[in-house]
Amino acid sequence: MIWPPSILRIRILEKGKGIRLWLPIFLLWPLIGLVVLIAPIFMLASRPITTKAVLFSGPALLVLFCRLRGLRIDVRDGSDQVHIAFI
Amino acid sequence: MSEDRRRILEMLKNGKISVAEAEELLDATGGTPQGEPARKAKPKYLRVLVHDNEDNVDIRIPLQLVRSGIKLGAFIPGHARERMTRSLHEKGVDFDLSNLDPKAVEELIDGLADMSIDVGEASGETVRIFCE
Repeated sequence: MIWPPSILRIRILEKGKGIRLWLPIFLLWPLIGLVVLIAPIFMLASRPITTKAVLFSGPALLVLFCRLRGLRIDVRDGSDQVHIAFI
Repeated sequence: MSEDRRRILEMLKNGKISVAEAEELLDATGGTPQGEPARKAKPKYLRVLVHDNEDNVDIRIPLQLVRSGIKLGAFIPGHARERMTRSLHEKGVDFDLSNLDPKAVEELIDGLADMSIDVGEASGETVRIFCE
């Protein structure tokens, strides 16, 4: 079972001050699931693409989202910092 | 040596079992044969560390994310892929996305386990790329 990330941590600091956010992505799980389910229908309506792409792009997107868990980007320049982490 | 392994080897010595059977039984006991290095755990993340005097970059990318991204690339419509390839070419990157072989990429990712790049400069700048 692959679990999607539950929290997105964002920290953008400039000289020690700035934004520190813990975003509860788990609240969006139902919405994301719904988007993934209906995305192929919209794709089908908007452009003529192959059946394979329509059938599999939704689940593939969901898997990609789930695999974001563990992604961490941390850039520091003196007292400035940008930190993004999917937990 | 565990009791199970000793018993299997004794059975082999006495001719009660064949070499192949002994091998199967040894595998079933779950231990790695002595002298053979233990199998390495598969790496989960690609790490990129850049340390400068004041600047630090620490990026951890799940390898499964790379795999999933490549799989998703297969669903890019042909005309979009052509445009992406053309744009890359215009920016000096001569890379055709349609030639991307998922199997080769999979082997490449597996091969990353043994890869480690360390670059250091006298000024104190270091770049490390490795899997963990």
